This record gives sequence, C-alpha cells and structure tokens, in this order.
Amino acid sequence: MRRTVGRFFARHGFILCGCLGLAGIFVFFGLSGGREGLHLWSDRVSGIGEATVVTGTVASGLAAWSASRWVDLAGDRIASSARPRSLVVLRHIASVVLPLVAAFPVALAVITAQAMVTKSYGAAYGPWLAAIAGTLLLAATGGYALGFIIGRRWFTAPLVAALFFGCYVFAQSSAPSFGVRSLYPVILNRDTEFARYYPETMLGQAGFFVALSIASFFLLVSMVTTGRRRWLSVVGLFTAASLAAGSSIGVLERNGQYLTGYNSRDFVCLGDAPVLCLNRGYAQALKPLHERFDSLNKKVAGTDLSATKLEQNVEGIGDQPSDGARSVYLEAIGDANLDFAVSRYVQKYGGLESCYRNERPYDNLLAVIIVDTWLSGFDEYGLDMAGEAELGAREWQRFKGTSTTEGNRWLVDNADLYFSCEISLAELP
Amino acid sequence: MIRATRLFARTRRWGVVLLVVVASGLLVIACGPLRIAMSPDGQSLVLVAMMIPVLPALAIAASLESPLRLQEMSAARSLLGFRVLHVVGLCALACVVLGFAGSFLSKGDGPAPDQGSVSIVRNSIALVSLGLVSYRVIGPRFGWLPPMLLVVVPPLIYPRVQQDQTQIVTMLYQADSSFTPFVATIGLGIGALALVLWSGPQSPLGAGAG
Repeated sequence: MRRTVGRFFARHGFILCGCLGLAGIFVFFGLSGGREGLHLWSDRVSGIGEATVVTGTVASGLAAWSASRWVDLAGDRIASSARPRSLVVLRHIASVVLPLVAAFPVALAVITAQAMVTKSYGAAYGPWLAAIAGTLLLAATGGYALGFIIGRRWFTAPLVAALFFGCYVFAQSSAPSFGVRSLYPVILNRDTEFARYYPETMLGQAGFFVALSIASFFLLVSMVTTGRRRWLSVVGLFTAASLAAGSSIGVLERNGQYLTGYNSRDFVCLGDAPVLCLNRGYAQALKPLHERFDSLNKKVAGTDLSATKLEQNVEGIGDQPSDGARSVYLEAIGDANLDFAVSRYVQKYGGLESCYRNERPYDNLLAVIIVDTWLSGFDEYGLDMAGEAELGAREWQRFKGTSTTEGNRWLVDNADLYFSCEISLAELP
Repeated sequence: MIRATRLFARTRRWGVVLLVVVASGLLVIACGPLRIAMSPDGQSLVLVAMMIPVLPALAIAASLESPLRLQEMSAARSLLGFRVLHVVGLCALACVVLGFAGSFLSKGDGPAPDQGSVSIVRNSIALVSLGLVSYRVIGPRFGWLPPMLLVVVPPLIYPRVQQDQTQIVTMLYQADSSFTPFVATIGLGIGALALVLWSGPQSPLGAGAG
C-alpha cells in the first residue's frame, strides 16, 4: 500500500504540486480582491478572473515541461505501441491537463467555504465560471501541445510560459477590438452587483476555448499517427477548429462584452428623512452613511439639496428609480469612501453641474467648490493643502469654520446664486 | 584555453543567449513608452519595457544547466571560472545592450518619465540573479517560475505602484531613483553569485536538465 502511494507521488508529484500551486493562486486572488469591509461574491469572481493571467502562464509552462519530457522518453513506446496511438497520447495529455484544470474547482470550493462563513452577498454566475475554467483548459492544453512539438530542449518550459504572457501583453497593447482580445485565454472583465450578464459571450468564450483544446489534441495525434488513421485525426482537427470558429462568433457579436448596467433593486433601507436604500451587500454602511446624510441635511435644510429618498446607483441606463429618489454612489465602506459618497451627491445635485454646463469663470467655480467641500467634509480638491497665496485659500480657511446653522442660513439666502454657479469668492461669509 | 572556452560556450548555448539579448534590446526599443493594463479594470498600468529583461534572464539562467552533467562532475579542470564568466559576462552584456536600448525610452513627457535605462539595468540584474538562484535551488522543473511570477504578479496585487510600501514586491516597476529596489537587486546579485561560486554543475533534487 505504501509502495503504491509512494510510486503514485513519484510519478505524479510534479503535476499535483502544480495543481495545488494553481489552486493557491486562484484562492489568493479570489480572496484578496475584496474591498474593505465588504463581502461580495462579485469581488471574488473578479479576483479569480484576474488570476487567469498568472494561472495561464504557470499552467502552460508546467504542461509544456511535462509534454516535452514525455515525448522524449516515450517516443519509441508510442511508435511501437499495440494500442491506438491516439489513446496513448490521450492518456498522457489527460494525466497532465486534468489535474491542472482540477485546481479550479478545488479553489472554488475553498472560496465558497470562505464566502459562506462570511455570509457573502450575491452568487457566482455559472457561465462566467465556465469561461474561467475554459481559459485554464486552453492554457494547459496549448502549453502541452507546444511542449510536445518543441520537444525536450533547455528552453521549452520558460519559452512557452513567456510566449503565453507575451501574447497577452501583445493582445492588451495593440489595436484589436475588445471582442478579439476576449478570444485570448485570459478573463478581461470585472464583476459587479449592478449589472446584468450576457451569457452568450461567456458561453461562447468557454466553447471557443474547449474547441481549441480539442483541436490541439487532434493536432498532436495527427503528428504521431501514420497511414489511414491519420485522416481521422485531421478530420477531428478540422471539426474542432470549425466549432471554435463558430463559438467565437458568439463572442465577437457582443464585442466580448460580459455585462450591461442594471440595478436589481435588492435594497435594504434605513431611516425616514432621508430614506437611505443601499444594495443588500453594502448593508453595513447604512448607519454610518445615514448619519452623514443627516448632518448634510442640517446644512442644506430648505434648499433643493435636501435629501429625502436615496437609492444606490439608480440613475444609469436601464435603471428605474422610484418616485423622488436620488442616486447615491458607494464604492467601498471605509470612512473616506462614505465621505466621498456624500461629496458625489453634493456635486451631482448642487451647483457644480451649472458651472460646467454654463462654462462659468474660475472664480465662481472655486466658490462652489468651497461650499461643496464644507457641505460634504471631503476635501477632494486639496483646499486644506493650498498655499496661502493660492486663489480661494483664504476664503476656504474663513468658510470652513462656519457652524451648521450659520452656514445653512447663508446657503438658504444665497441658494439661487449657488445653484446657478453665480456666487463669487467675495460673497462667501 | 580557447578551445575549452569554445567548448564551454557551445554546451552553455552562448550563441542563442546572445541572440536573445539582442532581440530583447530590439524589443525594448520597439516597445518604447508603451504601457498596458495588467488587470481588467485598467488600473495597473505598467511600462512594457520593464518586463522585457525577463527574457534574457531566463535564457542566462536556463542555459547554465549543463547537458553533460555527469562528464563535468569528473572533469579534469575546474569549471568554476567558466561558470562565473557565463554568469557575470552574459549579465553584463545584457545590461549594456538593454541599458542602451532603454536610453531610447522617452523621458520627461512620456507616461513614465522616471523609468529609463537605470530601471532596465536594475531589472536585468535582479531577474538574472533571481533566475540563477531559483534554477539552482528548485531545479529546471520550476526554476523559471520565480522570475515570471515577479514580472506578472506584483502589478495585479498593487494596481498603483505607490501602494506598495515595501517597494520590494513591485521592485521591477519602481522609478529609477527608488533606493530599496536598488538595494534588493544588489542583495539578489550577491546571493546569486555566491550560489554559483559555491555549488557544482549538478542540479540538486537530481532533476534532469530541460
């Protein structure tokens, strides 16, 4: 019993190491992509997709090394084999590629376990996972095929790995459309809660990768078979290649697009003035964000800026905000992000839009910015760090100490000027 | 002496390594100020030229593995000098060629005004050293992994280079003037040289070459 286990690891230890390494890479990227305080499946899926650059490079190199060694050692054995040569090649390619691809479900199991423990919001989308698995399959099979063809040289493994990454760099840098770039076995998309999926693109990619892998297998078989049997593998090669071309149409049709903007309105709401509704996955931010909007409302009471009903991300294409709702945008839930969310609200519904629309002079723009910064408490424009002599610096230092009631009274008196961006620096208290 | 050197050069594929070095230099010139986004959201933009030194690095490290391991173990003359010549000489050549190519990177107005010849030379030395260490310690099966991972992984972990406080993880993508990557490179270089001087031609773990 011990001897069989020992022999198993001696023969397959290398690939098992590779499998564990790949799983580790997937888990690392899947779990480290999370934004502070948030537990979202979309972050995990984005992370796993990001990892495909690394796993593709590693898998292709490992598979190439295995193939190059085997073809060197087993060349004679293949030539004189009693079994059909295609089966001999199939058996070895499966013993190399399948464990490497198995790294993905292993990693997924670990990530799912962690997601369940942290009660993560959302779910992984099946076709998206299929596309990721497809990239790993094609990277491993393609690497194997190259290693098989190049044979056992001193440069086989590093060359194949460098080639995989180099082609990725080339694809990212050059002019082809996003659709063409999506045909490369690396995932180029990020997941989000506020989107609807196009499964045709993802399944098209998965089909393309699988078909190309099968084509690579038939290419290798056609290299080792002779005579009549060769025609079968050539037919197989062309069939697989045609299937690949067909699947690629599904990808190119949508230009590789995975997502379209959409709000599922899966909200959790808090309070009554304002009513703050955030996506369920961001529920942790409800109380602190509501406090900030409360204090904002005190400063803007009696003006158009008062927040009555806020919903997350509802003013995009295809969204359906409820009556009287305004959009609030929240990327992450750290303190700075919450202040920034308030700042975005103020900038969107305050006077800043008029400044740009009517191309107001810099003096007015700066005055509106000073008011906005006081309202939100988020110093986006670095007013605090401005030198003494810079325009607006003195006015900001004077304004920033204004109390809530004083500031509110001033804002109500000058509301018209503020919203039309006609307020000047001199008119600030 | 000349014949011994020629023989050594042939077993260590100096011709191919030379080709790779020259080709990498041309690649650096061709890439110029090109930057690509490593991650899907387009955040981690890296200068492509900074990644190219991995090619000669892998070539130099992989070619050091001898195909005549058994014969060399019982060789009459010591091959230490030749191995040092291989490592130091080829690394220096790579630095000169890539450094010269790096001087074409547009400075001042390009997207990376603070990365030029100095960064490329630093990256070459760091990657060659890392490659040598990993090939010696891990063997040729996985030895090519650490240099490739050092190129591919750091921009994905730190989308903006400034986020890396240690400056060592993203050392390949730091500016010319960054001190810590410079020190780390020196450390790696010394380590690699020590390993080459100390170990013999055999690969540990008994793994075959290539």
